[in-house]
Amino acid sequence: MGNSIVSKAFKVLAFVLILLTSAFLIVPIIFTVLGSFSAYWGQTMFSRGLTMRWYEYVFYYYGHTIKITLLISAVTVVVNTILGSMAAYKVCMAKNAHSKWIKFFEEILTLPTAIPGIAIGLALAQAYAVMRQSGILILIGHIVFTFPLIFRTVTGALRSTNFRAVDEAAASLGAGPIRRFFTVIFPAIRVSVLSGAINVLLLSLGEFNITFFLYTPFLMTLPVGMYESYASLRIEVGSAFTTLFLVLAIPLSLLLNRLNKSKTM
Amino acid sequence: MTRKTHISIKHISKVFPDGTRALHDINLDIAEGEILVLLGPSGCGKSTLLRTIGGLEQKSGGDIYFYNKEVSQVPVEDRNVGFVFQNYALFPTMTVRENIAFGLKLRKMAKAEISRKVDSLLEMMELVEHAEKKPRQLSGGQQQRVAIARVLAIEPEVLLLDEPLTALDAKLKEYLRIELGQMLRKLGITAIYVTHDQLEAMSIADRIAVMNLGVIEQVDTPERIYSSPKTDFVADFIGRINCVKGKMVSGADGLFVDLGFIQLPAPSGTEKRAGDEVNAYLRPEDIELVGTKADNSGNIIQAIAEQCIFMGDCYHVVARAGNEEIFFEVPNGARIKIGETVQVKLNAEKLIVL
Repeated sequence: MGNSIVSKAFKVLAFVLILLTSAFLIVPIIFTVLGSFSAYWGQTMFSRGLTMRWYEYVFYYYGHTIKITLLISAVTVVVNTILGSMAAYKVCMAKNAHSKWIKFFEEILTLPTAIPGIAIGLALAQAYAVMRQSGILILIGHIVFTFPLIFRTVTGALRSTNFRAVDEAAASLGAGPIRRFFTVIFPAIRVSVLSGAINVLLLSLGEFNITFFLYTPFLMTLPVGMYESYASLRIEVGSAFTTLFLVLAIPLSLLLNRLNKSKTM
Repeated sequence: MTRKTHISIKHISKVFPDGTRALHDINLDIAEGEILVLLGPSGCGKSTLLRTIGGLEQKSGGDIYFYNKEVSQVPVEDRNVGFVFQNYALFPTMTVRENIAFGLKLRKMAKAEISRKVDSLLEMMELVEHAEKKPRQLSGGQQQRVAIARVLAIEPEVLLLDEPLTALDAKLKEYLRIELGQMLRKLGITAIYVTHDQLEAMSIADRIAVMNLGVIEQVDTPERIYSSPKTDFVADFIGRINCVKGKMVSGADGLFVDLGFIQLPAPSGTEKRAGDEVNAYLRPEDIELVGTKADNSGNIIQAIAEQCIFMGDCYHVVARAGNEEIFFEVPNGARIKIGETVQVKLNAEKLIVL
């Protein structure tokens, strides 16, 4: 009796906490989205009516940042999906998979997520100052920063089943490494690769820390543009910018959620 | 029957990058169509040897010949060996049919011929109704049959089986052990079979190579491995055996082994000399309970029963003879009380002295 009351109380408490946390995160987003359509966000939000002009404004002045971000993220995803999956395959199938070099390599790979983005951005900016104008540095920064994400997702998938024996079986039947990867291994881990790729895409789309130290006035990404609009323009512009970003990111994270669910089933 | 040597392993050694020495100067000849079993405890190097022969591991030294061709530089993809793994290692996203056809597609065989060949293998392995299933829908035994069909499809030069039955449950294992042995014999394919299970080894092998700590201790037929082990390790590892420390002594009519509680005539052909300290081995089935009325002619000793354990089909008896403990089996009918003195006859002809 007493127990069931306590457990009920806990359930209610947990529910309230979840509700509060969610509200804490979601309410500001709702306000931001609403605010982006407000002609004037003052004491009240819609006292001067609705408008689309902040969006026109963003597209006019910051349209290029969206294009650049899409381009950089697309290249990052393609490069890292290929490199990350290949590297994970190589590492997991290596004959000496437990050698200290491989362990060292894996630890090096996790560094980018352990080191604050600011530090990576600063380091890249200082070390390769010459390359900064070309924008290639932003791309490199994104690739380096997001690589561990897909690498770890794919190594996790490869280690979950005994893919090493599967790989060896394919080899003994006459398949070379590239054919083995594409006909035997990849089909079995494609959901993990896809979810790793979406993770990379999300991280790259929203990357701010590194990019902030590497952008130039002509090569600005969406999050940097968003920051600039919040910092120096009207709040409604920033809100429109944020809404645009959410339109990009939310479907991706929903898809990611769904993939992760199907993986565990 | 003398058969042509198919695989010849000369001075193969293997040291892993971390410095572990897995194989040490392995020499082994395997005849055409022979089924050779590599038997040993885990970590003895048997799997490493198999993988080195197949090209999944690189040797550190020595040579491997398939007929007269040195193959240790040939990558596994081109060595034309068929591996069967403990965990089946089927391709998870492919159907049974696609799994079996995999090697044939790589060999650019015509589609019609592939499907004909796959069909006949499906039939042979009794997998016809499972052809369109994915591996995860099959039982362990079925999966292993698919794995065998998959390697047989490519008609490998050598079949390499790495504990193929170990993951299966006991009953199925016993059934497949017989079936697999018959199949390998019928195919006449040269096969190397790794296991830690002696029963499996005995029932499948033409010859057994017993391995321990990276070396081959003895290569012989199952019968000789059992009846004439050449090293203490083999004697102890294969089957159950009594081991008593003894000393060689010369007697009136030849060499004897003094076990303390009895002197038994030394096995003929022993290289031991009088005065040598030896280990004397005798299997429990070579110790027979005899009644008190039995004649005293041959090698009978008195022993005090210390333990008598019911095993179902017999009793397992541990008895003290002098300062030594020996064990043997007695039929269900015989009642032995603990502390009772029993008379047993030792079959001196089966005595092994090492």
